[in-house]
Amino acid sequence: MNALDLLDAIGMADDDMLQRAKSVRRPRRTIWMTVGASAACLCIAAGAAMTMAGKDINLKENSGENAFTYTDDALDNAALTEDCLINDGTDKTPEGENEMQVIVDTTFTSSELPTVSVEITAWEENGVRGVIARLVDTETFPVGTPVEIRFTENTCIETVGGAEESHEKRIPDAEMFPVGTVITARVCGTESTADDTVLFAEAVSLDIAYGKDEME
Amino acid sequence: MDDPQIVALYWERDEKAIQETARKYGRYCYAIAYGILHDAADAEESVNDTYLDAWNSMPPHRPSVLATFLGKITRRISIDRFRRYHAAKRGGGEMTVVLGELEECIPGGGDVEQAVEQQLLAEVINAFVKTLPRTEQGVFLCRYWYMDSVENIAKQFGFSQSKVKSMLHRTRAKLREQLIKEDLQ
Repeated sequence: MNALDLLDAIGMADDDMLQRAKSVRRPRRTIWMTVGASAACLCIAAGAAMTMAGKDINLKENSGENAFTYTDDALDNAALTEDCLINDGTDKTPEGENEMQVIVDTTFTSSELPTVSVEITAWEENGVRGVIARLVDTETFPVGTPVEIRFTENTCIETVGGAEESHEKRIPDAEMFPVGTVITARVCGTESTADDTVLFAEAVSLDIAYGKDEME
Repeated sequence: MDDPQIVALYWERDEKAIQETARKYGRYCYAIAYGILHDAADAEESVNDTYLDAWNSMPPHRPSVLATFLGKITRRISIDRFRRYHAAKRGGGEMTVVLGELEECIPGGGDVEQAVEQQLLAEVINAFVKTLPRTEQGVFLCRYWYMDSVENIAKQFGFSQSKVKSMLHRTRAKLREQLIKEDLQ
């Protein structure tokens, strides 16, 4: 037997397996990523409107078990995007106008879609591999956990802090964040495989807080 | 045109069958041939030979899945062409790399048992592939049936190339164990 014999034998694989092999496509972006941008815009717009109105907002929407609360702080927080989405699947503006139907993948909760701080160890074609450098808002990934961060066409690069704060829709690259750099990535979706967990990043920025604790 | 209609044209000995096949599956067959031969002209010839083989095969065959029926013909013709070229120290592309990888699966210390029937080997491998989880199965067939590059498989499945390589490595090791178990050496 030689390799060509094996190749010939593999050639007799069943039709259904052959069709299935070619029908596999890379995982589609999660519903988070699809609705995330529009939901974030809605939340930001709502927050801006409320701030302009100068109201101390503490709106409670009473809809049984799915009631949720908006606060000024929450409106300023990126996590609001998730809070807006994680309910019974039907999201409404606080005033009840301009109803927006949001289909939610209830597999995840906000606590499972964290912001992670990652030291880049290697660049891949569509993302990076690295290790958790410090705890941000989750203990799901302890320091030192190897992770894979995947970028998408909607990934933004953020510059945070100071007067240079910006938000640019652009896929990060190795020139911008070389190996060894510590970044924070706001996660908008995950994909678990048999081997590891891939985190899809909706926004990436340099981790300006990394190392501060040690310095202080 | 639907596949049954194309097959019907073959059975009616209508030469339009070739045109419709080329229009619908020409690129598919070409991709398979090119993956094996890595040469545009040779791939084109293999595809043309595929049409001729299909013309001679239908009737009596009436394939239920025309795409894979044609793909298997293209693959066989292209591998045969590669064999001829390989003997003349030609060829290359993914095929050379794929063959090198598959050598790992062959048990034994060089003894080649000529009596092993190809059909039995095919049955064992087919059964083995069926036992693989869907993802591993897809990656394995994309590599060793369609002869896709690791880079393209990684893109298709949304994996890193290193992940595809390690997945293939594990599957080849399992296949080797299975072949030893079946005493196919």
